[in-house]
Amino acid sequence: MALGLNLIYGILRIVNFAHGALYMLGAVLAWVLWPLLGFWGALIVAPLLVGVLGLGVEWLVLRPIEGRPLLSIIATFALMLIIQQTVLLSFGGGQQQLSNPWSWSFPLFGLRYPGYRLFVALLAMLSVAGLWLFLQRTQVGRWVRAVSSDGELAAGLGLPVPLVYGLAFGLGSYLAALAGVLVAPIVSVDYLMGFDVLIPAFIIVIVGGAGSLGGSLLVALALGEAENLLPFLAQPFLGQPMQPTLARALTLALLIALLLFRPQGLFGRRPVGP
Amino acid sequence: MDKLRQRAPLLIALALLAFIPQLLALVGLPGRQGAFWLSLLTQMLIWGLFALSYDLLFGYAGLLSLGQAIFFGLAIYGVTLSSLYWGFSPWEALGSGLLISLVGAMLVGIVAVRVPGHGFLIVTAVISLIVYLMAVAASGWTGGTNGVTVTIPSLDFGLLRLSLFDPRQGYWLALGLLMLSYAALRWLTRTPLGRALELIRENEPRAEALGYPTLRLKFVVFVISGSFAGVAGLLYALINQFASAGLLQWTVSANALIWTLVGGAGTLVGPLIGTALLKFLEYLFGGWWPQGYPLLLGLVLLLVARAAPQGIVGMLRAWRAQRELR
Repeated sequence: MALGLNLIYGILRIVNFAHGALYMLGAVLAWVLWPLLGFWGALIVAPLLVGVLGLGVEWLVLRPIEGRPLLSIIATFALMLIIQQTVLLSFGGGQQQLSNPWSWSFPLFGLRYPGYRLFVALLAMLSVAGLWLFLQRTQVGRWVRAVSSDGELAAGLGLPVPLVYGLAFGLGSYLAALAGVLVAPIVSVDYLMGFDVLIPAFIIVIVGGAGSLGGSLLVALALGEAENLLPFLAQPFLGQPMQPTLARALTLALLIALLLFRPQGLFGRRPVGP
Repeated sequence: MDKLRQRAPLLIALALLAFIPQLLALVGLPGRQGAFWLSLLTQMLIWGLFALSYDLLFGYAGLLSLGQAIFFGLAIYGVTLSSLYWGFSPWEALGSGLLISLVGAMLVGIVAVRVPGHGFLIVTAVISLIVYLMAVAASGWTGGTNGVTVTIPSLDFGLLRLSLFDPRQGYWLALGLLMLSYAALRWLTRTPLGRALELIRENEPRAEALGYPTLRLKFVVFVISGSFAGVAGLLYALINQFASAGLLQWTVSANALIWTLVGGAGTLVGPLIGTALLKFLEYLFGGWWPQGYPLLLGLVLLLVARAAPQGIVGMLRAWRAQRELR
């Protein structure tokens, strides 16, 4: 989830509000496509559909207002509203529960750990590795990095900058939807699910450092761990387990405190130029 | 004379607004229906004041914040909780509400203005989320998302005693407070501080190179704008006598952004027009097709971003300027 956002933010320098909605769209499509194509089919088709949608959106909506970040942010906010309401109108507002594609589980530290979660973790790692390889080793990946570090210079060198923008947005959308499909069996699916993950995903990107994949990954892991561990760590002091909402608030506050010391993020460089 | 002519539309509008309660009674909408329209108008005034405070931050200083609702909500909670649990008098409650939003704005501002670029947007949104989560976690006290109600029957001005249960008196209170705030903000934008803010919006590196303390200026405008959001919160608390954690969410700030943008950012009048228009549309859709309103909002926003980034007031001004050229 945060990976796709980082890609879009780092390269287009746009805060993408539609990202949560695209993530939700991935999950909803998984629910729709599951009976038709099975889990594997949905896993392949749904992110592709959303990725293509992302390409189209970038071309249709964001391209005309390129270079005006404030307007672009607002446009993505508008897209978020439109996608959410369209889903609400066409699929209803109820919560859907998807069955677990794999029923087997294995023992871990004395608990039964569902195998599906392991699969999700593996696939997430695979995506990270794939994205990294794409950015570091391929010609197009090199373009993306060039545009990210200096769009004007890249254009001057004859790189197809608009194409790269579109590609980054499409790929970011694809990753968001992939995350959506993967979590669909774990959480309940409804049209507002993107809302809850949007802001944490933003802070992950900012604290990790825009354009830094490793930073995103590290902060995402830390955020997840801290949220789970804090209630237990606080137990001796409070005399009772901490409420999950409070734990989340505290974790986010810690991340904000980090920004006080490194405003550009943990692994980000200071932006060059305006 | 020229100045008077320039201000005439505003003065006429103000006079009209002041007599709306009488007008409603005249056209035969007394009693319940008239009271309903009046309360809708009052809500527009409250949210208009909130949007006004947002415009100072976004329209003049160019700071895209999603944390404005923090100070709005803090003020509301300051008023309701202090009079609910500690038995504060209305004026004491109002004072504590304003104080808490002021302190909140200073604390958030210290962190947020340091973060460069769009990090500001995200940091303010995240702090908004943190405050919201804390309010939810303290549900026993704050009522969480269900909210708490409070009863503040009247406000004593010495000679005058405003009954807050009378929709007309509530309306006049809201109108008066909005006009005062408008005048104050209008004055503020014409001071050297206001000019410096516009310079920061247009070209921050240049402002810095000219020796302006940009960080400090941004902090100051953040606190001022947060305090005005606090004033809007006081008004909300007095009139609706209700507080809920939902009022602290970043989506509330996003609404202010939308109203400001549609009306015309950086014009102060624009946000008021935008708020009134969109609140009215929301009401229309509410009775007829509630799910359609956000959809329409999205489409309107896309249109504004694509075709009219200067908003309604900006478009009117451009049209008038063109007509005068001819």
